[in-house]
Amino acid sequence: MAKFVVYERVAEAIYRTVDKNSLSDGAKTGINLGSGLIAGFAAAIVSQPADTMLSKINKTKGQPGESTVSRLVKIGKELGFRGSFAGIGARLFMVGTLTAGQFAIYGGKFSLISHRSSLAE
Amino acid sequence: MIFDADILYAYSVKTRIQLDPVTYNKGLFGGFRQVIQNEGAAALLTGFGPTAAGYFLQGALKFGGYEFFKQQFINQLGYETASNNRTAVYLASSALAEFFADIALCPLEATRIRLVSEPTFASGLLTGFTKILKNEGIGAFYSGFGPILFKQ
Repeated sequence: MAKFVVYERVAEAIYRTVDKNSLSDGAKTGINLGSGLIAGFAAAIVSQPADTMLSKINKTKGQPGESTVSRLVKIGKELGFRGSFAGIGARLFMVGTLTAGQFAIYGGKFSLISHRSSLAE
Repeated sequence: MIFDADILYAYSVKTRIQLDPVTYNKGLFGGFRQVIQNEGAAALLTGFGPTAAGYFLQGALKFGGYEFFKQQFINQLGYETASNNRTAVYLASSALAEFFADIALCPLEATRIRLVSEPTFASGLLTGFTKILKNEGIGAFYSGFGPILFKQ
C-alpha cells in the first residue's frame, strides 16, 4: 500500500515542477523509475518486520496444537526490534530495484493496462 | 515484469540473512560470498522458480487490481470527489488489490521460503508445492497470510 501512495505522490510532486507535455518518453520513464525507487525504499522499510516474520514462520512446521498466532508472537519476542530489521540492506536493494521496474512498466506506454486514470490535476 | 537474475540472487541471500542472522552477519555482499563458499554458486538460485512466478503474478494482479479499483472509486464518487480525496482512494484501491493478490501469492511465497531454508526439501517449485500440500495440507500455505497482509 505504501508503495502506491508514495509513488503517486512523488510523481505528482515532480510533475508539479515540470511540464509533462514537454518531456520526452525517456524523461518520463526516468521519472517513473525515480518515483518507483523512492516508493520501493519506503515500502521495504515499512514492511521489513513483517517480511522477516514471514521468512521465519515458513521456515519450520508448527508443533501439533500450536496456533499460527502464538507462533508469530513467539517469533516476535525472539527477534526483538533490531532482529526484525535483519537483511534490510539486501531487501532495500531488491525491493527498490523491483519496484522501480514495476512502476516504469506501469507508468510507461508498454503497460498492459490500457487506461490509467490520473487523479492529480 | 522484470526478472533480473541479480535481484533474485539478492532475494535468496536476503532470506538466509533473515533466517540465520548469526551465520550471515556480513550484509548483502558478504552474504553472497558466504553462500557461494558454503553451498556453491548454484545455491544462490534456490527459490528462483517461485520468486519469479510470484512476482509475475503479483505484479499482474496488484497493478491491474489497483487500476481497476481506482476506476471503480472514480465511477462511484465522481472524478472531483475522488481527486480531492486521492490519497484515500490510492490507499483503499491498493489495499483491495493487495488483499486479493495475496490470496494467490501466499502459497508461492510459502513454497519459496521452504525451498531456501530446507534445500533438500524438494527439487523445485512444483514438487515443493505438491509436497507441502500432501503432507501438511492447504492450511500450511496460509500460515504466513497474516504477515503477508501486514507487509502491505
